[in-house]
Amino acid sequence: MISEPTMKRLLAAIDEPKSYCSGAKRKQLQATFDKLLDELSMKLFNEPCTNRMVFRQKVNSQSSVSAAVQALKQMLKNQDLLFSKDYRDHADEIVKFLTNDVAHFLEALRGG
Amino acid sequence: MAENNKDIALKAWEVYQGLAKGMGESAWRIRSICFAMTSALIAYTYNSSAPLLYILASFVCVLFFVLEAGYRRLQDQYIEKSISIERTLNDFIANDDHPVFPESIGTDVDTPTFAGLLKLLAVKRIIFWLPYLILFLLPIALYVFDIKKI
Repeated sequence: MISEPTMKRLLAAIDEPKSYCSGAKRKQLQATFDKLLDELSMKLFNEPCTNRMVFRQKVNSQSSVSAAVQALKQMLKNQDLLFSKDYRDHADEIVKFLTNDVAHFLEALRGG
Repeated sequence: MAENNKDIALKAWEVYQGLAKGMGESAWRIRSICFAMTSALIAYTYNSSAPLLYILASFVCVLFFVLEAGYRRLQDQYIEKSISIERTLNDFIANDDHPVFPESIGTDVDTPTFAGLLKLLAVKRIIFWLPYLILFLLPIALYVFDIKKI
């Protein structure tokens, strides 16, 4: 469901979340996350993900109770943590997003 | 019920936005008074040939900086509240079954702390502190080099 390069990058980020909290690595992580959503969208809805909110709406409309879909819903719910732009320091939020949401989703995906 | 919750979230967001805007405007007023007063003091000191008054200009600058920093820290707290409500609104837009609300909705904020003041000095907030730094250092430089009307 997820391509190997995307999976590798996400796992690397989960292993070392603090280094992905700012600068170029953060941008790289955001791009990888967008790629992940695009791949999921192609698999689930057979169309590319052009907008994160629209993709989230589509996922939320699914009535599936599988662990992977539930984890995906939760991950999409917290995706703002990765894309925040305000003046605050977002390091803790990004670490939380990676170690909780993304890690749980990948685990659920592998389990399912 | 969901419709009511949406209205409450929207109203709370408007209130937080209004409060953040008010704090921002007050901060800008403090800043403009500081710049006008410090500039006038520097000009007066130059004319009066009493360089010691330059130090007073730097001191005034520090006082206004502390005052504006207080307003900025309050504004930051309202912005934070506003962002948490935006997440709730996003949940409604995304048709989430259980939109996340903040622990509580209220306009109460914590007293500005010294740690908060240090956060304001971060590099990404350079637009906030750089003008004050220049206004603080300029009179000191004028004093050190004894710049006065001859």
